Amino acid sequence: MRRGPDWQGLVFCLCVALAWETTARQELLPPRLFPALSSVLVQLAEGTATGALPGALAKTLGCMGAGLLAAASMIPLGIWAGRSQRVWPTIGPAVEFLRSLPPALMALPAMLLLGIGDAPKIFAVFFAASFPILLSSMDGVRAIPPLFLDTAETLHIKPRAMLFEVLLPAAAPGVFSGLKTALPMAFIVAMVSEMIGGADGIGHLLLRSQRSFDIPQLYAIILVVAITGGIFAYALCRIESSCLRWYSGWKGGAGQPSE
Amino acid sequence: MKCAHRSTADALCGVSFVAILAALWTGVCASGVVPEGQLPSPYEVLHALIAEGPHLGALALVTVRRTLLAFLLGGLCGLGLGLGQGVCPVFRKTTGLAIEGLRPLPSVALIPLGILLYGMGDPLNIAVAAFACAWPCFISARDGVRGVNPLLIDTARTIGLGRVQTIRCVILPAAFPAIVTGLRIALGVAFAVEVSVELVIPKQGLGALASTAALAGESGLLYAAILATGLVGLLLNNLLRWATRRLLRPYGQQWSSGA
Repeated sequence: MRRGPDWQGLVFCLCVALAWETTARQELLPPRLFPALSSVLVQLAEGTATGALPGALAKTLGCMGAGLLAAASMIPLGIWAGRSQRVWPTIGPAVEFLRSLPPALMALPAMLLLGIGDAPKIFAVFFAASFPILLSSMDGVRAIPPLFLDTAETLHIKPRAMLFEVLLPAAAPGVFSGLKTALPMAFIVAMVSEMIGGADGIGHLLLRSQRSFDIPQLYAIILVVAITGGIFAYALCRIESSCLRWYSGWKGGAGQPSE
Repeated sequence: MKCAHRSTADALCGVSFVAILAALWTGVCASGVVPEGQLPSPYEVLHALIAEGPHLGALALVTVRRTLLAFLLGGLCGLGLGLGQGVCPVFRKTTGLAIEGLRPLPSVALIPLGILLYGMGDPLNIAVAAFACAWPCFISARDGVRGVNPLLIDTARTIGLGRVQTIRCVILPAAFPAIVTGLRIALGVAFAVEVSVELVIPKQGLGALASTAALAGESGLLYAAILATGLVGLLLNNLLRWATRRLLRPYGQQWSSGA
């Protein structure tokens, strides 16, 4: 799937950047609200050099990682729910309701219960990431071709081997599609909870730079956040395609499994 | 007969699970493990829900109105871009990289910038939620058009349909199911982001009520607001699911039965 660099796209991006720079330099738009791209980049470099931006980002990513790790506990539950006839009818109604809550909202009760700090942030991320992971692991198990399961049963495979050598790998496409939904959501929720009641992190820094009218820094942070989001999406795609090489081959070798 | 028996048993399981959760909740409150005021009992929540019913309803309407406006705006932009990229390869090649770069940007990072540009009010909420919900529409429209069976397009060319006619009579109807599915996801995203924006800028709406209640330590009201938000989300989702099924019934089982 690797191609050469996308020249046409790059040229377009360059044109947009140039248009931004000249518009700002000519002061066609209110210069206080639209700083030139160059000053944003300077701010970005300064923030990185002083460690303010990487520090805040690391704080956010730490909380997000903890929440995601907790949410990974939903993978076994999802596999169980996919195998059993009883589990989903039991937890389904409750899950359907909780899932329809905007996850950032859960940072508030967590703040009342756990106090202000990292704990409510981690809980909100966990809450946000749990449901996509749970549901798509379950769907992943349900979508396993019966041929795989029948073969495993015919071979009298042990339960342990059934889990690790059949169910988990075969449900992996589902698990990955859940992670792809969960990861950007976790990032958003971590940032919202920092904006609501946080004292640190990139979301808090972003809101603070707006309040102190540090507009170049505001743009610089948005840039950082966009790049981080892009790196997540790209990394997950690469990990997925290397983990699921068998799957794309099995589906008929039509390149990567859809984005 | 067997099926009816089954569904009753399933419903019973679901109800009893919710009842167990409620009993646990009541038990925790009654036992006094959690300090006063941090976790309201279900009774207190119900009380707040009834006492604040009309107020909650009015705020829910505010949230829903903004969500729908954002859905309309974001949906139109997303579909326009997506269809453009799907139909016109030159447009896709030129803008592809720039748009892919913008897509991972977490929408909530735009809140501070939005405050500067629009002030605190409806336009800000609508703009941020519209940005978020444009992406599912964009992806579904682009991939829906690109996924149209080439045989259909070749046939259209063979029988002498022009470019515009091919798009109108062949490509759009064929991509329709994918687009509708994308719209359904987009409405959920718009609602979640709208509530998140209200949390950060507590001026009006259900999220704002939850945020102010949490800051004032009124836990009963906070949980009532969360409950109301969940119900509204559930309602929106089910309404759209029903509409999707109706719209996609002519396209057969594969689309209309989708979760």
